[in-house]
Amino acid sequence: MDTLVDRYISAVSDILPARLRKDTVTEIRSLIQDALDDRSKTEGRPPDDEMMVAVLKQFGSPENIVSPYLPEKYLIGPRLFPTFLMVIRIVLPIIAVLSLLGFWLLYNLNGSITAAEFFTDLFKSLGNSLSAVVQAFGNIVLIFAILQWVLPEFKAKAKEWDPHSLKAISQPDKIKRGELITEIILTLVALIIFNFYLARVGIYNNLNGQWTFTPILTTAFNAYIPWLDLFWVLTILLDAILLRKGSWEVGTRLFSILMSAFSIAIAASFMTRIQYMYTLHGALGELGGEGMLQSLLNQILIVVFAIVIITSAIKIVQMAWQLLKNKRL
Amino acid sequence: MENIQSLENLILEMRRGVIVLAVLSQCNQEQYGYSLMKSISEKGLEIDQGTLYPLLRRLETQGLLSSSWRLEDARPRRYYMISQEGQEILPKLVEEWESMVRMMRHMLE
Repeated sequence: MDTLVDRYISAVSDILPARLRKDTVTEIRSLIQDALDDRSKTEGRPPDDEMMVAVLKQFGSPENIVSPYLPEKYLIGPRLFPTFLMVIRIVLPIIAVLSLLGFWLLYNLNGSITAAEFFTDLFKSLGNSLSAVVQAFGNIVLIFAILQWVLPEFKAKAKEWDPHSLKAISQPDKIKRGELITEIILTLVALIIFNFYLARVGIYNNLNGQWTFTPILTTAFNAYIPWLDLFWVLTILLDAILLRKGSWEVGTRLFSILMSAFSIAIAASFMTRIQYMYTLHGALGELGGEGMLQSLLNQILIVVFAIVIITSAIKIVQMAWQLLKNKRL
Repeated sequence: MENIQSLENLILEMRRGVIVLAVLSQCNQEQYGYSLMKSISEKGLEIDQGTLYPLLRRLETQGLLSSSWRLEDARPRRYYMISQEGQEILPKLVEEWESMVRMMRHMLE
């Protein structure tokens, strides 16, 4: 019949890797036997089950006794973990935003859907987004686990370290006055043009020494003017508050998040209805080819609006991250 | 209660630093794991078995100890002894230890 020591040794053997097993198991058995002999001598009686239990308790569980013999193993070790975190922080928000963008496109293409359909699509889209994020997370972990396994042990660089190579401390709460003032001026210009000189927005041609003007914006675009006005006025208001306060605070960050969401909504709406927003009909005069040019321009504008959406989404993530970070501090 | 736990951890951490020196100093003669633990314990330093045995392996891998298996009373035992390299390093470690003791005494005065 196997004793408690035999069972203990068998459990230890199961945990150890093959290359260490024989030697380590023999040594641990010998050590347990020595401890038992010593206890037996002290207590003046032969070893029994009670004694074995006491000695094995001293040694601790098989996992406990084996762990110091084994090197530490990581799925993603300390040298790769900072890079892993950086990749996760960049990739996952982008994937989440792009998946949700799919919902916006779907919603805008089917403008006449009912409220029930809207919420069904919204939940489906949130589910898809979550699934895409989880899948991306799994893939990134897998890639880093392979890198951890494949890459040779990292050795610290022997070359002399220069303190001047340290990066300047980032000041995420500090505002950039120059950028804010430029934004206010450009926004004011846009407000003036689209509210007072809308009829003059178009294409000017000098054909045969005579200037001709063709308006390009349609009534579909004009319907957006109140929304654009609201967006621009709020932008100026936010910039003015920032200039007055001198730094980002919780309120202004939340305001900025709402503004970015607003710009995503406007850009997504423009993106899906771009062909109705303007017309080049007759703009090129006798040269012709407006149809082809408009088609090409539509593609370019779609890409531009997509960039606006992605940039705004990244800004939302950055602002939310700073809010959480400041809260933790 | 938490303070007592922290104190115990701090003491454990301090002791951990001297274990290598204690083990090397006691391996001038051949010792098997259990006898070494007893000998160190009798001199006042309690070392956990889970700490001592892997440490002996590590010191052997580093070339500071050498080991050999021997059959005694029909039982294999692994005997450890300080190696040539270990004998060269031990006096330097002792010197460093004494300098640290002097420095700490001076600091705590």
